[in-house]
Amino acid sequence: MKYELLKILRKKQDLFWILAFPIILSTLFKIAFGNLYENTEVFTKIPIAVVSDESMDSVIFQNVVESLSQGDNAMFDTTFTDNESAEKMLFENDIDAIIYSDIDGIKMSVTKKNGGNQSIVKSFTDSFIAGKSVIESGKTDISEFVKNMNSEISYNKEVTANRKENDPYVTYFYNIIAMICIFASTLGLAVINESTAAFSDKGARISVSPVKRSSVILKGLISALIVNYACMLVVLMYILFVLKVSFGDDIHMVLFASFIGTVMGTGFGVFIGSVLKVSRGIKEALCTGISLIMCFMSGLMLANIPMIIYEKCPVLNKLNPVAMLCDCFYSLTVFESYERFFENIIKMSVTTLIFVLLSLIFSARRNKRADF
Amino acid sequence: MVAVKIDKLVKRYGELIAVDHLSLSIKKGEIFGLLGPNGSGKTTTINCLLSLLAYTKGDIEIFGKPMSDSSYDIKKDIGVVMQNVAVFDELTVYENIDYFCGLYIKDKEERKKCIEYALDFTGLSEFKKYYPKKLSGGLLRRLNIACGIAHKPSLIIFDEPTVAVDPQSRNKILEGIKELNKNGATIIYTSHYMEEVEQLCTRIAIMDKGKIIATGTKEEIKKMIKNTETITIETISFPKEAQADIRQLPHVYALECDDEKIVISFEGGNHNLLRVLEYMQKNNYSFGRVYSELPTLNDVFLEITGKTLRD
Repeated sequence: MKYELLKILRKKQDLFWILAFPIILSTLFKIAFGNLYENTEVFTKIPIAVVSDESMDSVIFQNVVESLSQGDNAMFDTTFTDNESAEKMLFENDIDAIIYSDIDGIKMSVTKKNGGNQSIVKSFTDSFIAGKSVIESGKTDISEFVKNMNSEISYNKEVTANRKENDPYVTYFYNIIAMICIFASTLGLAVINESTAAFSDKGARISVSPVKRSSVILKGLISALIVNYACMLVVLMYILFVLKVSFGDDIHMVLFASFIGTVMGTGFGVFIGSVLKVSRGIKEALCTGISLIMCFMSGLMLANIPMIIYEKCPVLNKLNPVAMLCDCFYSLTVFESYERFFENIIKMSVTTLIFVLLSLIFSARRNKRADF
Repeated sequence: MVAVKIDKLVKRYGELIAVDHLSLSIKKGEIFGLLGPNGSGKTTTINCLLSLLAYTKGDIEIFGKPMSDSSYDIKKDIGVVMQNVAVFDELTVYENIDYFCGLYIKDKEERKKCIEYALDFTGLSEFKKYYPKKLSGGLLRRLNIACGIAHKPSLIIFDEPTVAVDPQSRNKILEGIKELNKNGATIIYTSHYMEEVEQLCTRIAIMDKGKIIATGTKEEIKKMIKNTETITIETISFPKEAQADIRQLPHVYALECDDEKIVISFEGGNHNLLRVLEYMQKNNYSFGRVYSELPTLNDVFLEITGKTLRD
C-alpha cells in the first residue's frame, strides 16, 4: 500500500490536475468574482420604484416602504420618482418592479427577469392592502405594521423561492470540487493499466507473481481514492479558509457527496481502462478529455451551459456523472430538503456500480497478453 | 527431474499459427536457450508457459504440475525478466525491487536481505536511490533483472534480456545468469543472438515459424548439418583448374570463388586447412589471409531454413 500511494503522489502530471489546477482555477474565480461579491450585497435588496401621489393612503404607503428600505437588513432598495423615470428604470432593468400608489389604490408593474423578487413585491403589496385598514383604525402604528410585514415577507421570501440565503457564485466552486472528483478517473485508469497483463509489462509481471491481481487492483484503487480525496480536502480548505468562500452549513454533506463523487470518478477511470482496446496514451487522453467535457457540460466554465443542455437535450445532463455531482451540490445551495441531494447520491451510486460491473466483465478478459 | 514440460502446444491468432505443435522438456539445472529470429514464436511460447496467454491446444507442466492462471504455488518459484523493462518510473531502484519482491515475500527482514542480494548481484547498490529515468539503458536492464530474481526463484525466464544493451552490461548480465544457474536455478533464455546462446546455454532449441526445427546441445545441433568447417582464402584470380583440384581434396563438398576470395566448405575430416595450404604452396598460388571457421548456429539455421537468424 505504501508504494501504491507513493506511485500516485510522485506522478506530477496527475497531481497537477487534482491539486494545482483546481487551486489555480478557484483563485482565478475568486479574483474574477471579487467585485461581483460586493455588488451582490446590494442586490440582495429588491430594487423597486414607487410612484405615488399625495393622498392619505399614499403617505402611509410611502412611510411603510421607507421603513422597509432602511438599515442593514432592508428589504427594498427604493427610488421614489415619477412615472416616466420609473418606467425608464424598469425598461433598463434597473429595478424589478414599479409600485403605483394613488387615490385609486396600489398597483404594480414588473419585469420578467426575476420572478422571485416580483412575487415578494406582490406579497408585500397584498399584505399592505390587507393591513392598511388596521393602521387607519389606529389599532396599530406603522412601526409595528412594518415589523409584522418584515417577518411575513421574509417567510414568503423563503416559501416563494424555496431558497436558502447563499453565495450566488458558490456553484462555480462546487464545480471545481466536482472536477477534482471526476479527475480521480486518471488515477483509476493508471491502476488498471499498471496491473493488467494485457496493457503493460508491469501488469504482466504482477500477473506472473503469486499474488491475486484483484488484491493488487484493490490496493491501487484504495490508494487512488485516498490521494484524490485528500487533494479534494486540501482544495476545499483552501476555498473555505483562504479564499473565504462560504459553503453554508451543509459542509458534511459536501464531504459525503465528494466521497461518492471520488468513488464514481475512480470507477469511470477503471471503466475506460478495462473496456477500451486502445493504447495507453489514447486511453489517458480520452479519460482527461471526456472528464473535461463533462465538467464543461456541467457549467465549470460557463454557468448557463447546463441550462442550455437542459432545454436542448436534457438526457445529456442525466447521463453526465459530473452534472449529477454538481446538481447534488446545487441542491444543497437551493433546497431546504435533502430529497434532491439523495436522489443524486443514488444516481451516482448506480452509475458507479454500472462502471464497476462492466469493468469486471471486461477486466476478466483482459488479463491475457493476447488482448494487448 | 523435469522443470518444464510443454506438450504439443498450439497458439493461433485467427488464421496465423504462432506456435505450432511445440513440444519441449527442460531439465532442472539447465540453461535452456530458445533461439530464433524475431517473430519465430519464442515470446509467444514463454507467454503461454507463464499463463499470460491463452493457448489453443496443448499441455504445460512446471515442476510436474499443470500450469494455469491460478497456479500460485508454482508462480512463487518462477522469476521473469521481461523483454521490455517493466519497472515503475515513480519508484527508486530500491523501491522497485522491494515492490516486486514484496509480491513473493511478505516478511520484511527476509525481503530486505533479498533486495540487498539482488542489488549486489546486478551491481546496482550504488544506484539504489536513483529513479529509473536517471539510469542508462544497461543499468535499466540490470534493474529489470533485479526485479525478476530478487525473490530467488528456482526457475528464471529471461526473454531477450540483452536487447539494446552495451557490451559491458551484456557481459555482466550473461555472467550473472551463469552464477544464478550455479546457485541452482533453472534458466530459460530466449534470444535471437546466437553468440549469446552458444556461450551460455547447455541445451538449445532453434525455433522458426512457431516450430522447433532443432534441439540438443550446441555440438549435437551442429552435427545435424553437413558443414563441419569453412575455410576462406584471400586470393586474386584463382584459375578454374585450381578450383577443380581443390574440389577433389578429401571432405570438400562445396566451393565458391570470386575476384577476391575462395570459400571452401568441408563435410567432416581433420587437417583440412593443412591440406589446402599444402596445395596452394605446391602449385605456387599466392594468397593473403586465411580463415578457418567452425559452423555456427546461424549455419545450422541457414541450412535448415534457407535464411539467416537475423533475416
